[in-house]
Amino acid sequence: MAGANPRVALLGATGAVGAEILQVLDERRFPLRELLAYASSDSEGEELEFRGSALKLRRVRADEIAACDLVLCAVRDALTDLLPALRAGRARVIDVSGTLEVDPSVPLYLAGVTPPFAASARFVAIPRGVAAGLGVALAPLARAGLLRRATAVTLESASGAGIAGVGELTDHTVQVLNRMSGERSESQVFAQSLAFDSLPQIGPLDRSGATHDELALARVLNRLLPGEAALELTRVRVPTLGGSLAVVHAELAEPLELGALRERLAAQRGISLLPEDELPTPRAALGHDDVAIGRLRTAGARIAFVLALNDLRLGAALGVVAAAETLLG
Amino acid sequence: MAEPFELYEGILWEPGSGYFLLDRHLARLGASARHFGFEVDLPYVRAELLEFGAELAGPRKVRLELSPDGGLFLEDADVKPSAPVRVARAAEPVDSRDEYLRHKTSRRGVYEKALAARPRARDVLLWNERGELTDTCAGNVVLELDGRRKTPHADAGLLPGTFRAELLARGEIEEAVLPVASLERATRAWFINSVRRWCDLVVEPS
Repeated sequence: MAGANPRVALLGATGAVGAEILQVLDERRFPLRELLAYASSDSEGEELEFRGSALKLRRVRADEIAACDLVLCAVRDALTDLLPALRAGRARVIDVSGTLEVDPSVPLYLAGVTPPFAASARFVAIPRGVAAGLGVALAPLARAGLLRRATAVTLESASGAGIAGVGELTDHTVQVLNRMSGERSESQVFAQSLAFDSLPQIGPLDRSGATHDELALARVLNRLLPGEAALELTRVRVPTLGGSLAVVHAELAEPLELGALRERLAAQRGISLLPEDELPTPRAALGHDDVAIGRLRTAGARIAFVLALNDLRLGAALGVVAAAETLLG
Repeated sequence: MAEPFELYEGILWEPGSGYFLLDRHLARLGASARHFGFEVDLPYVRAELLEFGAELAGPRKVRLELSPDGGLFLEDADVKPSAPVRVARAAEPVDSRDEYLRHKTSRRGVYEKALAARPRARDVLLWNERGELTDTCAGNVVLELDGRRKTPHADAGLLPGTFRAELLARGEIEEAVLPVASLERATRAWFINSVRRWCDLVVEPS
């Protein structure tokens, strides 16, 4: 790392995660010598505002990016092309694109859940979206050796499909409300229109019947959580613009009273345990950086709860910037 | 309508170090998928490969096959020893504009035809319509010329092998237009690929 003022490349600067990373870099007054913002070639030359100045968007160039001190990758598939050059160069890489999250040679970092990674690490992966929320929520149970099985249904907002997903949901919703039902424009982002509907499949199907995204979520949780709890996961896209929910049912190794469960969860960094009369909702989660947990129930060794999180912050930007701060020392 | 085909990669897996040049194989697969309009989820492919590799014991060649809809098939096979590779010179030139020479696909008509024309050869050294060396049916070629290691230029119409790309990036070899006659001048010749790495190349009389 070049002293305390690194030259940083942000891949996917115009995406939903990229925009949130810029916001968090600014909030945390992250020290920068220079920030290079990369987007698709269509956006080359356009400008973003960052810290009151114009940031010109660049087309991805492997040699230029590999020469930076730090690379933040927030766009799917871009990193695969760049890895040979990055491995040969000196840049350190924080990946929130999902490319490296299951690579055992790359530390996976989630504050309060994973052990600290070595400040000398060249590559660090950040768990994305609901993986971060479920990781934080299940960690205290897994660490205590209590977690035997967890079944979760996630209800994920359109923002999980990026700015294009939010745009498509908004457009289709307006079209329906304008009584243009039947004349909705074709879905480009989602398999079918998400407006006033829900889609119980996120990502293409694997031969097992699970989706690629469900398998990725299970693999990441297996890395985050100690022990060998069985995980059953179903991811559903719902017509909200931001924030996500997960409905979790778990089987523990021994019975746990509601009070004891509350105590364990409340002690976990990153969890905000809601009062009994407050509901975890995606919209309320947008204003917070913690995982909001409510609707707690216990029945012997079986427990259930609902969590809500701001997937662009807790499940992306906060982890990226915190990891960058660690690398910066 | 053209027959459907698959993209594939053959990747060396070794105990301790795992996959050799995995990033380059995935980058090439992604580029070919974009070129032919195949669906591909590269993080998923990487994850499946890593999970598959975790079950392997000795050195293995892992064959990855990707169908147009993104379907993935993996299998492993023995790794051939790095013995000298004997080839015959192809009977006819390849067309340097043939896109299937530049991508690793199951559409291997050019290679099958070249092998059929040299029935006693196990592999064939290909050359193009300009009389330039390209590659073989199973790997790339390096010639030692005037003390430098040169490999046929990509424009000749060849598969840009991952080991070739790695050696180029490291500066260990360089690209050059290599007329077939270069073979006579070469002080040494190699067959290279990412599974067998460097093997001596022996061009047998036709």
